[in-house]
Amino acid sequence: MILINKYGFTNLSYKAIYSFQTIRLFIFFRIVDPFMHYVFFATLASSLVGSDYLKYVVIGNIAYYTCQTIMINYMNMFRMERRYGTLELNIASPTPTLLIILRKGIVPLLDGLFVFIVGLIIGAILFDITMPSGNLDILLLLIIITLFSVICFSLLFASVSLLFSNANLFLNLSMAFFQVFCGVNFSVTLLPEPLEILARMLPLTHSIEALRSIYNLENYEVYHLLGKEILIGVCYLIVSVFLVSVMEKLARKNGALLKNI
Amino acid sequence: MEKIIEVKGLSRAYKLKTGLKYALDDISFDVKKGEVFGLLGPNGAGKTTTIKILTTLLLPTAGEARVLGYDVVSESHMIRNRINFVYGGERGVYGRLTAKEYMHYFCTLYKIKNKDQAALIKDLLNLVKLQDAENQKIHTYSKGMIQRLHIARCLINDPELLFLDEPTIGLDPIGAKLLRDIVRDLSSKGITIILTTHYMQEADELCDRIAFIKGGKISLIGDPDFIKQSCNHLNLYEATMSIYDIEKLKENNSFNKLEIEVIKEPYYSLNFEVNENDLEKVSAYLSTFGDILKISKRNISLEDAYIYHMKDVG
Ligand SMILES: Nc1ncnc2c1ncn2[C@@H]1O[C@H](COP(=O)(O)OP(=O)(O)O)[C@@H](O)[C@H]1O
Ligand SMILES: [Mg+2]
Repeated sequence: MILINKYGFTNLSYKAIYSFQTIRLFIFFRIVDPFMHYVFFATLASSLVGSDYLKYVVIGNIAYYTCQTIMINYMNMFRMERRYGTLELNIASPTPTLLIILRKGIVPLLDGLFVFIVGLIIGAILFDITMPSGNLDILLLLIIITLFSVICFSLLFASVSLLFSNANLFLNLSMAFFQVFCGVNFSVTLLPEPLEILARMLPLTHSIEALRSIYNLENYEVYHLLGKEILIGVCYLIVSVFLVSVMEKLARKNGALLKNI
Repeated sequence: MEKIIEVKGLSRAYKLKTGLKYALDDISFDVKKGEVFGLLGPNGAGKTTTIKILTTLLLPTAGEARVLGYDVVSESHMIRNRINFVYGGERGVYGRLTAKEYMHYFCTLYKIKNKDQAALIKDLLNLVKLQDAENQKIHTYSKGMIQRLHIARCLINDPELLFLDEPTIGLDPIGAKLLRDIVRDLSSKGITIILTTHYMQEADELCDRIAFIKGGKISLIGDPDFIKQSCNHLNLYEATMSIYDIEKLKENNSFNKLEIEVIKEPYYSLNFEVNENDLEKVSAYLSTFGDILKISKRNISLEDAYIYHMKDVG
């Protein structure tokens, strides 16, 4: 109901500050661009290792691209707020900052959901990545859990962007980091042990393994992995909740809310 | 009368590479319920800083401020729902939304029930005379319309206290007048208003009390008459006369703040201040420069007082 309300918060947030407003942009950035991304990595993988590896890499990149979509666009919303000088107006309202940030997250979350589903469809049609039948319910569960843990992690950036007018550096670093450490293009088990431990503390790592297992490209215990992914999401959620209040306090202290870009 | 704002020894410093910079340096003042209180001072004086602290968006580095009896640092949540603010200029709006959508957005943030939103928004947009533009995207609005939209927004939570930081900046005379009328209207409804402006005429017209602030300190505080009277020792004159030798007059240093305006050669209108309060003597002296058509002592305006008190500011 909230989602389709013309004057609802989510709809207005989308209209006011979201980057993709036209169908054309949407088709380009949500279908063509991810497609190019998958093709690039698929080509790279099959030329280096051989075509068996192609599905493995495409699956990883579908999850990665979903994550990237959510993180970049979520944080961009706060950049836009700052650019328009509306951030302080939001924060000064009696709605708690955490709630405002969370509710704004619905838009990139739906965007991510779309990218994920389109990604899997592209995978099925163009890369012949088909799922064994009967796994649909578990796939849906995986999508929900992945979006949850990614948005919880993205909350970190949202709260950091209360304090820093340009948190893009952190974001770009993390995206590069995720590309390497979440098992997008190769299994994290190939990493040296300390790095594998690190990789297993990030969102996405377990989801990607679970996704590949659903598609029979790997053989892990799916529910076990999903349980871990939820746990990781919850941890980031707790850290974020705490961080939002700290950042808000700090922002009031040094006047960062009021700085505009 | 009940004090709605109490400020005691408030300071705000910023750390700069060159050391601490005090944007506010130990200011104290009170605002009474129902007043229109003006904060006047040059750019960089600390007006906005004061307002940001009082609206709980910025923490002070020393001193205390209470708004509606609550501490701005530790009890900001008690304050936020009962006040609101407008910062002048064209920022603070979502250009892609219509005015109506913008208002709905903030109604939700201010926890107005869905079913009550439409009626409230209609009332408020009527009040600021934007009802005909309610479905127009905000990026097509003029400065004056944006400013009025801000006023409509800041009334959503039916605030007891409003902060208006340079609300008429950059507006054309009609836009500015419309805004002043709205401010007067709000004040007559019992809302306490803190106003900053660079237009002295406007401050004189609207404010019950005024504080002059410069370099982070309050230099004078009182009602407009009191502030004007603080300059009673100034002898201001205005004259219309023909002048034979304008250069000679300009070089003469018995006249302070001499302003000369040509009406039509050789007729000029003069504005000046001298250390003499006897009109006869001034008139006699001035006639050595030409023929006086008209001369009179001028009442001290708020602008005169402002210029006098701010004269040592860069
Ligand atoms: N974030 C900041 N960092 C450093 N100095 C600041 C900051 N914000 C304001 N100032 C300084 O504080 C002083 C007061 O600013 P302000 O309150 O905006 O003045 P006004 O509104 O009266 O023009 C100015 O000298 C300004 O440069
Ligand atoms: Mg200012």
